[in-house]
Amino acid sequence: MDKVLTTVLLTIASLVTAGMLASAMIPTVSRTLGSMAVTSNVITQRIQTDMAVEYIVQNTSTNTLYLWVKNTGSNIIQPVEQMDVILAGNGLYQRITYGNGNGQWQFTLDQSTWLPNSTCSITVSNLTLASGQYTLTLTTPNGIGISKSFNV
Amino acid sequence: MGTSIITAVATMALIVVLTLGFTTSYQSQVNLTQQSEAALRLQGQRVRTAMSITSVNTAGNQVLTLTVLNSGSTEVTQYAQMDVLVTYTDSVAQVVQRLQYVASNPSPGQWSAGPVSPQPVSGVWSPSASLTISAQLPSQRTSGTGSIVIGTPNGVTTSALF
Repeated sequence: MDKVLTTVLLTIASLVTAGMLASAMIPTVSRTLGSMAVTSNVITQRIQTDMAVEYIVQNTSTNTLYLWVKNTGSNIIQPVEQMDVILAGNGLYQRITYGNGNGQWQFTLDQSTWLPNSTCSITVSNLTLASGQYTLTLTTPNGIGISKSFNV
Repeated sequence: MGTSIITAVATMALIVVLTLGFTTSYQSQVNLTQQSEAALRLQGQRVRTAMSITSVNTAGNQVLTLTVLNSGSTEVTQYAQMDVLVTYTDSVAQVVQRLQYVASNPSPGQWSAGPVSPQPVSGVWSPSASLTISAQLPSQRTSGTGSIVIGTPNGVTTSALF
């Protein structure tokens, strides 16, 4: 009788212990696996993101800087307005902010989103640049950057 | 008896956790490898894409006819995704513009892709073949030298003066 009681008690204790162990491990494992999946997704998106600057030119009549950038990756680049535009050279080092004011950058797309193989036209209005060489760096919201030099 | 059950349950839990971890890690790795290969394919295609403008004819200081040689080893098919960008000076000011693609008969501010020679497959601009591009500037160039930039769908460019 004593043996049976001991066995029953030990079985209940082991089941409770197993349950506690499971309830402690499952959330941790779930969080770890979730983090792995999210990290993998972020890295995948970065691998799929690429772009190429086709042309940069300053319209000296209107002091507007024009640049055309091709989405050469396999991922939609969005939101475009969260890209970083940095202009450096000739004593200047400036992050150009997004907006429609003077010295700010705006963009136009052929479609509503910046699809692969399509072109994004970027303009910076009323930007007075002295003659010389400049380098423009564009960085996507997920951190893929490209640079291109041009002369004014 | 109880110890055996605890050991068995703990072992099972460990196996489940390890299996889940391994499966997730393996799937992530496979996915990353596939995406890396796809990105490398795109980069390889860009490296193999090249072109050069072999002639530029200007009529009336507004109509441009360009002959562009596919000097790479990849085909170009999506003409609508190509870019034609011009810079020149008209009677008023400097003009900087991206011309709009049309299938044929371009009006001012538009361009079209003309015949490809030789063209064994319709709609395909093959390596070593020449594409004729017809473009109309938005206005007449009145002074100085203009510049035209042609970009392929995968962002490879070539330029010429006119």
